Amino acid sequence: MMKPSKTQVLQGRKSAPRSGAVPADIHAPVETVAEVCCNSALSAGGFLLGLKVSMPAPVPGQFVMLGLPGNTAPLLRRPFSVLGHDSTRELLEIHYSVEGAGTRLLSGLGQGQTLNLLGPLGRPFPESEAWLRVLVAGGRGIAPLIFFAGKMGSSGRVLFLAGARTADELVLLERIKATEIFVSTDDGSLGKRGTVIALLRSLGPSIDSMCQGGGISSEGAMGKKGASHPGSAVGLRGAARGGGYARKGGSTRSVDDACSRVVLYGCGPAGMLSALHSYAVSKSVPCFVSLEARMACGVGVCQGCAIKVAGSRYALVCKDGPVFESRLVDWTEYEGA
Amino acid sequence: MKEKTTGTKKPRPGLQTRARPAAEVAARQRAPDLSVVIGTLKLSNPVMVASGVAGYGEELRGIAELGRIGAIVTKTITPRERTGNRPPRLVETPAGLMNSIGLANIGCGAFVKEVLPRLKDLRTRVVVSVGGCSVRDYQDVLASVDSAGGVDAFEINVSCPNVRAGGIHFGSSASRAAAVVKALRPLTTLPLLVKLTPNVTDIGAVAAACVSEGADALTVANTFKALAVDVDTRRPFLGAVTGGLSGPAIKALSLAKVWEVVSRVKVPVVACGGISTARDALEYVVVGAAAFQVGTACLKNFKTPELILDGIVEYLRENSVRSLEELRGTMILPAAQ
Repeated sequence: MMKPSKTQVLQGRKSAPRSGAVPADIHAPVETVAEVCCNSALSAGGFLLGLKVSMPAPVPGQFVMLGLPGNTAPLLRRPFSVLGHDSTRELLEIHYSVEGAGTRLLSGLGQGQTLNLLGPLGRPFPESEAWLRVLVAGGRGIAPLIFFAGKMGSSGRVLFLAGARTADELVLLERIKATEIFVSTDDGSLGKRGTVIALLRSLGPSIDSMCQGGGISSEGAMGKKGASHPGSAVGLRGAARGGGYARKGGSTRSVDDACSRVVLYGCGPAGMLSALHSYAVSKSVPCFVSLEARMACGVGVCQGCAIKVAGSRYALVCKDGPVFESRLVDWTEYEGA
Repeated sequence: MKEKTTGTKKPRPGLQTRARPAAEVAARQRAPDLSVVIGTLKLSNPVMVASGVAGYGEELRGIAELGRIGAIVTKTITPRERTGNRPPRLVETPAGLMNSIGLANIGCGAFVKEVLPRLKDLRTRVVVSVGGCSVRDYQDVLASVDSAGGVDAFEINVSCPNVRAGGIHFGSSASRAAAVVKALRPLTTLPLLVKLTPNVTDIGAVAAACVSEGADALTVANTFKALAVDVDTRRPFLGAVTGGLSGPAIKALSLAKVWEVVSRVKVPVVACGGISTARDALEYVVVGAAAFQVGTACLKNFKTPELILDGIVEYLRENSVRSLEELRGTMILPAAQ
């Protein structure tokens, strides 16, 4: 009698619930044709792609595989995170930046042109009943986290941290729905100067304070979430100020709501995610990260997108991920796509 | 002008050189016969999904219409589970894909116990790919699956490293490949296809040796050994350094290998290598292939096998060809000088 191996467990033959997280409803993927509605440049090589496509609704954290026709480069479909989806209008939104031949070709597509689409794919960000959800976005990792923040229920608080190399690359900020939004840029052109992880660390004392019930007062609506505008003195800050979280919503919490009521979500470059994991470990909070890998099939049959996980096993980014609990990832090996 | 009662397209030169009676025309316009016989296996059509892109046969349910195609070949099964090679396992080249998956599979025990029962209602023929590090390994897998039943044929993957011989592939020499076939032939009455490696000097010799030991057919061929290096990092793109190249990039190479084998053996040859359209498949048929497999092109679009099937039917109808057999091996060589 053969016991299912760890590989099999990871590959979904048994879907064990993740610690403290509620599994979301996901739909079986379809392979279909998507029509370009809009494909507009946002900034510094970043594009917003709107596709008219009939497909099951993706859940935040999921991705689609998009393919161009013809047999020249890029040959295979490429994975793209979902930024947004409107079931009624059958509209799928993707944010991408031009980084190679494939995305350059993609940026040249006009209205009416078509792409081959496979999706929705992958395991999404698990929803959490944690009191404070901290979303940490690096560069173009912001898109799936915007989707996630927008779909969250109204209870609890959402802290959204967005970092990029420079102000030009901080896109879609107006679409973030969160209790508080903080930004950072490596060159200091917007928000706090430095990495988004440094920004997170600087907010650490405030998070700790919240966990111990300090610095919070009920003020106005509870947990009201609204999009903040770039440059607004209230909404967008580069540095934490004492009691900064007291600004918006939130009721008085007891000290029984310990730090286990905080959960981290991250999406961005490998180095950022590894640092986020280290931070999560130091604070003993759960952390879920969205990973990348070169993919061929996108559905778990070719075994191409394997990454090393705990116990010297491999997991598939397309099928077991792309969202993983950070403590399961072998960070000495993960390098991104 | 009286409208012709024949097909609307002018037949291609070489296929029709005289006017045909109406009755014959009507007969030709019935659905062409696409059936193929391999040993005792009768396929409804010559389209197969190659090993490595269809998992164990059922993962593509809901994405691809498997019922329309002739057969699928499973991922290569080895006696024990294999977790696969160090990532990255995939890299694209112009019009090609390099992979070093490393024969990752769930192992024979898990396949027989958990997967085989689920394949009973798969509406296409199932060919199980067998691999191993020793002749004994091949025997164990084949015997185990054969006695469990529920499959239609075996494809022997001789592109496996022979551990006892220092890791050289079984398929690299006629004698080593023949030894594997000889050890397996008595273990089953099901058809045995041998999937040859093209990385040899004389593939015809390897093919002939396999046939002499009882192989019912040959799959020509597996991937070509390839290398890709990142000039900036000086590192190979693949974790295992080299990988197997597949896709449109290798079609011309594989075609030459098929021709070599067809010229040496009388058993059916199943072509594999860079097929993505009906014309590609027909090119192989003209060279002499009895059936063909589609691999990398499926990763680009899982509907490719069905589209190829439709394209073949359309071509045969347009050219008033009654069966694929009429085209097989009809390549016209230049007259000797």
